[in-house]
Amino acid sequence: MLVLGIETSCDETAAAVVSDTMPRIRGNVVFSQMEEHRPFGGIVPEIAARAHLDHLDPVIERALAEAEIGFGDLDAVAATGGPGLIGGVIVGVVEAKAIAYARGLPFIAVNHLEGHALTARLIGDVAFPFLLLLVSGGHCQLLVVEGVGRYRRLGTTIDDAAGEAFDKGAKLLGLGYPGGPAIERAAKTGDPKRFALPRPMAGRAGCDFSFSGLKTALRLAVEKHVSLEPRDIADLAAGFQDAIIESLADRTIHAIRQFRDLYPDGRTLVVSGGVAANTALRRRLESLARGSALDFVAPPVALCTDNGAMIGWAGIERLRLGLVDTLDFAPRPRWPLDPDAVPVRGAGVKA
Amino acid sequence: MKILAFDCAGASCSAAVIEDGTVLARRLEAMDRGQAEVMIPMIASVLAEAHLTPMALDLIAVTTGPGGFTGVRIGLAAARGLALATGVPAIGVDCFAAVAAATIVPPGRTLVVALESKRAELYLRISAPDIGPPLLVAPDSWNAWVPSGPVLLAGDGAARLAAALAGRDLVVAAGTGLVDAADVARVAASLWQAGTRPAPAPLYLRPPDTTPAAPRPGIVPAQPL
Repeated sequence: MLVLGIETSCDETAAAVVSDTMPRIRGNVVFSQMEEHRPFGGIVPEIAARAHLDHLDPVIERALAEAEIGFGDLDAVAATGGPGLIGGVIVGVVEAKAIAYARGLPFIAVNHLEGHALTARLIGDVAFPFLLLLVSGGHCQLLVVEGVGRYRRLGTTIDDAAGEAFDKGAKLLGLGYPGGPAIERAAKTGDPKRFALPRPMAGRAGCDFSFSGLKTALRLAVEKHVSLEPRDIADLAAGFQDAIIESLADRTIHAIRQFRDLYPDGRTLVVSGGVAANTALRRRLESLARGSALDFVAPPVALCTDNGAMIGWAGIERLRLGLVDTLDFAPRPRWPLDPDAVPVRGAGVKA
Repeated sequence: MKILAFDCAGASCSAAVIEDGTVLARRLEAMDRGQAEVMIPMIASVLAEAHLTPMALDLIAVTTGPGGFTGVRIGLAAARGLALATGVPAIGVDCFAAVAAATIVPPGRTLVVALESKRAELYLRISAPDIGPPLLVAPDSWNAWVPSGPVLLAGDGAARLAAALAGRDLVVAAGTGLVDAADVARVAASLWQAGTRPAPAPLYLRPPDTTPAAPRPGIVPAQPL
């Protein structure tokens, strides 16, 4: 079974060919639009949508070439159907529908977040249910993954996503975009203890996140200085990164307790999404899992950031269950994994 | 020669199949949004009515704009996906050419095609007897921009332009001014026969709205640490 997976929901134009037999990833091509957005200090939706259209054809062709197959060898075409920047999602969905229709193949609209969630099963045999910390530029949630298409949200952010906090923090420190890798790099030589930054939500009940207060604390710390020397920037970056990681860890501890109570047979903690590329976060979560006698799974960095392989894999999981979509599927800018979760004020698309 | 043509750049969605000048199937629906849902099923329905599969086509033609940015991309992504998966060549036809092809111009009149931009401005092009450059024109420049002498206006922006320039010798062409895919197919056929194969590439005519990030005062510019 071979599925073409297409991802265009943010600033990566990506396509992959994924199989249900080993090796699962047969071709995997990611074109990052980072250079096109860098002058603006963040992603400009219209620039992203234009770039997706410009780059999608060659990205698909290269993915098929890497896999050494043609369109006639495919069993289905899957594309991110949302949530995300709708102009880009539309480009990927329509091109995927056109390919599926032209070749008489099933079309599968994949929830981008389900792509991140099921990546753990792409790289290993992780059984349902598992606990997932999904942390990216647009999302920050703790979820129980009960099965394909079945999620229970334990917590979400009430303002910014973790990756968004990294981006905004990096902007405040003049470190540029994208913020996560920039802060991680700067933090390496910094002293995280020099500036006392708050650990948002730490100690509070439940599993929700909040990062806007931390961002304000960083801004106030920055404004105290007439000019920031590299030493100050490194220390602030280290303190800021530490605060985000400790906040994520505190919330995850609460989620592990709930997961234990609700799903006594659950055995695994998974981290996924672009922020899961942060080495210090991975280490912190690994020790957390070990302390709770859970297995810890963090996909390779290239499969944490947005990619087509996770969409192709989610396509395979859905195809196996007969979960395919019709050609009139409407792209969804908002698409919660757990539609029954109580709405959280300020969460918006991040829920 | 079997041609599939379609358009969803403006306030409508249209698809048609023509074979050697004969229209085998044709749809045109006015709609402001929803083209991402409707376009592929509409293409499937005209091909089914023409008893053709995508693989049996000789040419795919799509409008390149100008129009709504999202609509322009929906049409182009559909065309590129079909072309990529079938190997059938795809070419781009701009919306001015499609509207002009459907318009009969009386002798002595200059044809101006006016297309809606979903903003105050209109996309304008002098389309007959000579063809001028495609432009996005603001309302305060319309009077100076529209050529002097008798003018025929066509396109879905024609009525708005005529109303703004009351008192001048302007005639609005009959019909809705919406792009009909059958006209797109006819333009494509003549382009193909003339040996020209314009790429299915977007004609936006307006750059994205962006605000470059302002550097924060008091911060030493980013240094690699």
